[in-house]
Amino acid sequence: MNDGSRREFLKACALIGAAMKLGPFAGQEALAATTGPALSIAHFRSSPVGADAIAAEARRLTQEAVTGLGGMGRFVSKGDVVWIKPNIGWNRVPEQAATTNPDVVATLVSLSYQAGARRVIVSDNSCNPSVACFARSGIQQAAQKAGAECFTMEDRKFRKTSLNGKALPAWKLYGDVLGVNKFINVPIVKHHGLCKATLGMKNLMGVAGGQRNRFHQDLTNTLVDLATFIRPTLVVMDAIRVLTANGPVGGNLADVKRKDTVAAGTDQVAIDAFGATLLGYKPQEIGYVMEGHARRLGTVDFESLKPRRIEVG
Amino acid sequence: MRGRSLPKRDAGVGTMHRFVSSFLVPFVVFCGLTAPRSLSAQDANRDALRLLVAEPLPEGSIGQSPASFYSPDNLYEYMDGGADIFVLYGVKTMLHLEAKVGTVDVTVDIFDMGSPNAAFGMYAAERSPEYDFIAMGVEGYRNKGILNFVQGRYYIKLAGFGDGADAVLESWGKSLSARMGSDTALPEMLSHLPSHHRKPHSEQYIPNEPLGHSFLGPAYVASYEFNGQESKLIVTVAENESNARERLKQLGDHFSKTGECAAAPDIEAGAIRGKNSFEGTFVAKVQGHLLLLGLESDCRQSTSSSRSSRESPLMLWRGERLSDLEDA
Repeated sequence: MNDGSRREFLKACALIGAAMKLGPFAGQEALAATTGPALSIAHFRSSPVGADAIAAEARRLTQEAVTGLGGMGRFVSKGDVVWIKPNIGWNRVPEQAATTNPDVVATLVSLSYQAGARRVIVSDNSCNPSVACFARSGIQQAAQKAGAECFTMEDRKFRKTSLNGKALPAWKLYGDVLGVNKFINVPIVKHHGLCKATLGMKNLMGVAGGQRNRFHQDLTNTLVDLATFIRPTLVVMDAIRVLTANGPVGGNLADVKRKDTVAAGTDQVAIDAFGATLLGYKPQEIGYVMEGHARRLGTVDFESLKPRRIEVG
Repeated sequence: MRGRSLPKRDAGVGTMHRFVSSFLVPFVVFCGLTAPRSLSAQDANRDALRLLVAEPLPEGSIGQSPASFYSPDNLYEYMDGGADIFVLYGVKTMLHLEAKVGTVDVTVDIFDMGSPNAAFGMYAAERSPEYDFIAMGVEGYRNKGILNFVQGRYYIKLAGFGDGADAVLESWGKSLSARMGSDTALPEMLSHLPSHHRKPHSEQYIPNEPLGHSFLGPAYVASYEFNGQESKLIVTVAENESNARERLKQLGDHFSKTGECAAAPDIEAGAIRGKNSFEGTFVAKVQGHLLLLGLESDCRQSTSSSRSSRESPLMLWRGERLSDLEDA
């Protein structure tokens, strides 16, 4: 093997290895996904006031964050079925920052279709009664308006799935999620009374069914087990409004702070590490972030990825 | 069946009979003595909660479905990770009701915490001194679309959506408060804490692991402000004086291992003081069955020359201001 072909061989190995790190939802197309940045952070210079202005801010930041990674075409291909997983867990309005900003979700729906998606589905396994959560959060209306299918999950569709995790050998996951070929995780950054912060990996609990309170017996390992199994194609983190206390339920506007930021990335650990800093934590203080790092799911040192920082507005 | 003769038993039936009489009957009797008691307590809690939201509802509200109830075992179904802290504080039962008043949707969540201490502790764990407080129950606050308060053994959380929701929530709060009766006093121990320099709405009751130390629980906590510097007073309730001294020793051992600790005879015989880099500076002493701990967490200016001035707020807690604590 000469130097040239050896280099090509090593490059191919590296790409395949990186693609495998992107997980089952990334598939073969992930080869292309490995060629761009791993983390992009879009920040609005000001804090617009008023529903319309904040909606415009959310759309712009989401667009910019995804563009910063190379655009949605890097992740979604023609004919893909895309599952978008926001946080629709709570019977709260967007201002209360307990659920993902609906305009972030709607923008991702549009971008997915523009990239050639055949179907885009938006759903979550809510904690509060789901019909109220879907309506109150504004996500159902926004997602459907952008052309997505948005429905509440049905108990009968959860099926026991082998995870081979440290804490979770197997668990009931939503069957329809396992049938799609692209998965976009869209958490909101917020405080959590038990694990300090709800970020991307924590948001994955929304594809699990059964007695999820059992997760809290070993939340750190459970979340990393889920993240290791699911490995989203892309994570887009909503930090336009951030819930700084009394999470995950929240409700009091006095606990909500503006950060005017949307981050997008392919490294689940890195994007969570960045999200932790928005709540004033060191990434090392979040157990599941460190466990994800220890299991080589990603890096806690998000700055080492040289995130693309985009100032907007 | 009366008067009907029993069939002859064979050997197997005899064995079964002995099993029934020797094991199953006592087991059933045991279950009868235990399960119904806990069930009836749960039922009583639910009945009491149900009365709070009996018709007529405030402002002509219409319940959207019968009230639903949650126990510590299934509270997570309603509030996922938010349930853990309620369980930690000992929640017994929770009532959830959805109601509608015109275009306003109201969510009523009433947590029966089992005791005024636990209810106040849970409420205080979620509130911040900066909130917009209102005179309701023992204490309460509101913001756009929410109104939370504590009264007796209940922690009440109301949420409203739609135009005019805040007025509807206030009406709901007043109605519930009236139905709960007149138990609107702070837990007794908190009312005995020194009021001078106390930061309003900073009081807490922490049943487990105050400051992360199991030997400090349960404890009442309040923040104090002296010349812009914040300190905490932690009053740990021990079983008796001997147990309080044991806890003081554990505290001293902890600080000796992580920083420094020494006797503080200038405060009182048996008192100690110390510091470490992550918890700050403290003084502590035993008073009857109570362990009193003053803690100043900001040690950025921790120099020996400023020691006496930094300790001065903590020193204020010695003496007569704490004299009535033991009676609480």
